[in-house]
Amino acid sequence: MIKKAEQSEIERIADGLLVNLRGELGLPDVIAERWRKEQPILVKDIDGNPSYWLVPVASGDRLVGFLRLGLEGVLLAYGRFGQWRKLCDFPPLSYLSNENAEREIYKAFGDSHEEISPPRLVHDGPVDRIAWLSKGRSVDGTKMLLFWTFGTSYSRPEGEEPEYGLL
Amino acid sequence: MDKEKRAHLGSRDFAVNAKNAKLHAQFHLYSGVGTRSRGFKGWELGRIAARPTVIYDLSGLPLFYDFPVRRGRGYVGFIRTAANKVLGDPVVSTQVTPLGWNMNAAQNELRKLMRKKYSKYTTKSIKLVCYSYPKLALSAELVSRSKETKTLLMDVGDFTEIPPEPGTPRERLGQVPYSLLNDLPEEWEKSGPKVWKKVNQETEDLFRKEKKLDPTHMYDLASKERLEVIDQVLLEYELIKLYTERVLDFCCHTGDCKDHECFCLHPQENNVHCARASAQMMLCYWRYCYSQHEIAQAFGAPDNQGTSPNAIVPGLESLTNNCFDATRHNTAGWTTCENEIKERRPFMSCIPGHARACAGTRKWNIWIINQPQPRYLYIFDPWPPNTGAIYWENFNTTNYSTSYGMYTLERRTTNHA
Repeated sequence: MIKKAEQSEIERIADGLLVNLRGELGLPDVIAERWRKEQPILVKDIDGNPSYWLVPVASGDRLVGFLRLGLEGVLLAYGRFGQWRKLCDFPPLSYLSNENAEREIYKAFGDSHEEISPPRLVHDGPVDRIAWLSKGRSVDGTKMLLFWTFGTSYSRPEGEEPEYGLL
Repeated sequence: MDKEKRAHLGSRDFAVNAKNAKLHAQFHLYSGVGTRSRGFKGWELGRIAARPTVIYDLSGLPLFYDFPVRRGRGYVGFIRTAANKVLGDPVVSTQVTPLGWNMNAAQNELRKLMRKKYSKYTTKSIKLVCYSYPKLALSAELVSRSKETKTLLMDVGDFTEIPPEPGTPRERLGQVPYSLLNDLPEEWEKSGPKVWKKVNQETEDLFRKEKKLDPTHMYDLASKERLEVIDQVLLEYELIKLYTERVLDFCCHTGDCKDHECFCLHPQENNVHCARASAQMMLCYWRYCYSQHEIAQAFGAPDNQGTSPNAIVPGLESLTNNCFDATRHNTAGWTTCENEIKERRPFMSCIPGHARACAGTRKWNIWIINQPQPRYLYIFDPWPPNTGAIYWENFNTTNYSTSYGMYTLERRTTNHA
């Protein structure tokens, strides 16, 4: 059984790792100089089971990189978002905030769905497919899974076999 | 140059004899070897053929002498020298791969064509001509019983009959026959022979002075000894400074590639495009540019549906016009991953339900005892859509697919079906 680390422990581990990995996130120097670690987020699977910790790395109000740590604190992956050179091209840090996700999900699905639950950050199948998930009900009464991730939204009926990029 | 002016190019003042041409080809071989130019590896053991293949201009004058270079039982390439001093530099080009066409096959096809379309003519002569530089054709001079003459041109590579429309290369691209000698600027009549004579004199002087460069002497030496002789002569004459070589590799960026990513991230355009985006990244590296929609079509799936793992190999191969072999590996073993990157081949790395591209590996050479050796893959992940991510992924802790762990792309030979 994996011994789960507390959030404070994850923060400590992330601090230590980022000192050594600072130059290895692949970020342009001008962005890497001003990056900072954000609060770790516990990412769960679709069924709500804890899966791993996502430690965002930000610069200004932009999301530039991340660490992915296992529940016990093991480093699973570390890197950057996108391949841009300018900070303004990186995704906004708000993409990982509950409030923004709730707003976006309502914008995408509010007209055609009801009983929309508050969103939570999950990985939809494979561990790197992070997305915000809300549950709702379509106008014909079908229970739906409503996803929003980095500007893209999609949905599928609850219980339906998911169709990922690789079948 | 008009026809009358061109006529005197056939005089002795302009004609190059094959013996001189061979000397230039020999020196060019030594220079290529001595400066370690790309493509010349192993050519220190190469032998220039005793007799060249003469290639004629459409004007009827000899244009080039092609000297095949033989190594062992096979031909490794050829050195093209000028047969007319108006071309200036004695060496026109060097092909560092074997000839891509076969004379016997071309002659057979020409005979078939003559039987089929020109059975009423007899053949006066057949020559190898350069009809649209650098394309070659067999040129047959035909005459009928009524003394009507005709010239039949057939490309030696694809055996197509070349239409007899005269033209200049600037008028049209493609199979437009033109006389290269006719097309040269007029000032070359003076400058060309000047250059040729200068280089020829220097080359003759060199071979006269350095007897050890004589091929009959060199052929008795082993590879290492030949290289030593060549290096010593080139260094002594400072000829090594004549070459500055820059050959493009898999990067079209200027400057040092250490300061930027040489592999492009292509985020997926919707939530099911991961395999297409990963394929797009691999193909982009090899300079095949397709949209994710085009790749979806090649993979046989609509844009809003995922990709079948079985469709990826045939899809990738078709997108490269079968110039590459795609292979599906059920499991992504570390050694296979490392080898692919070592051979400069990015690959598609798959975890259950998701595909990404991989463009690097890293392993620790020193690590804590009793712990697994830390190993990472450099992943170009097309997720999140329209953003993507680039990261080092812990190989030891990642659950790779066990039925489609990775897809690789390897270039076939240039002789594709």
